[in-house]
Amino acid sequence: MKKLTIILSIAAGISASAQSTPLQVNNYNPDYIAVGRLMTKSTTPYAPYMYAIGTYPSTNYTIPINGDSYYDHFDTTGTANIPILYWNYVDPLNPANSNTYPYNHPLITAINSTNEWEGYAFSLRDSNGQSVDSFEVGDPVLSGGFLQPNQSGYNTPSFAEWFTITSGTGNITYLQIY
Amino acid sequence: MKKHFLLTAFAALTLLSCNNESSAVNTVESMKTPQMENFDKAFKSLGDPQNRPTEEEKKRNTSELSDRRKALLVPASKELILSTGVTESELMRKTGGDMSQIIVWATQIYMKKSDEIRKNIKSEK
Repeated sequence: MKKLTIILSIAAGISASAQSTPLQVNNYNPDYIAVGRLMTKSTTPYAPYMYAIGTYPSTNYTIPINGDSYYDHFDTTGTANIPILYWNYVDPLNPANSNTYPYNHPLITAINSTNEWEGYAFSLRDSNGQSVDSFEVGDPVLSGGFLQPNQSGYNTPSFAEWFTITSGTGNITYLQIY
Repeated sequence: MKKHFLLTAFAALTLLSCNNESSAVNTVESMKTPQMENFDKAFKSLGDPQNRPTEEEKKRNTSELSDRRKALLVPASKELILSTGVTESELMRKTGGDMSQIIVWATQIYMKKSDEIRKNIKSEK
């Protein structure tokens, strides 16, 4: 176990130079809000991962109609236009650390350098809170094929996608709902 | 007569104050520059049927936006960058005309400008 921790620390150190990519969220859908799970993940197996807790105690992340927000780092999400005040943090190797933490907790700062935005599994809901369609969009590689970059609504003309623009000067990931 | 005058004056004042109130209600949408609006429209247009990913693009196992769709964002991105006082030649020198660099740069400008607008609205309240 100790050896594994050391190996993992080294691995974390190697990837520590990288910072998570900013995420821009846009809900252009004129009729529905989006409610679901916004997830982060590391490329290192068994490393900690998280999902956003938008409005505690609800464990969902909600995007209003015409809502938009920009997230620079995981530990600054509480001050964004659509605030993420808490993160559900899961550490498979140190289950005692798994808990809900405020966005500016040191463990969340530590995860900035190891995790990336993974995707959003959500439903579109009408003004009565009824789900009209569900989607699972995200990075197909990071999620190991669990999420797809884009998806059309089954019951509505809605469309959702997750894409990244990679450039030498910085990358940005976008979550867009139409 | 005096009473009437006072009443009229009071009514006029009430109307004036209401007028001021409505003009003070600024939303982020109403305060966006035309270049910001166009930038937003370009991103929104990615959802138009003809701009959605093609079958070929859907088969790629990556979340990187395709070059065809990046090209749809470039004109509005350039406009937004130039609106900050950057010249065309500076833009070309800094980005080498690379679509991704232009879009990422413009997104950062858009985000900062939106933040400023939100802060201004908050300080007005």
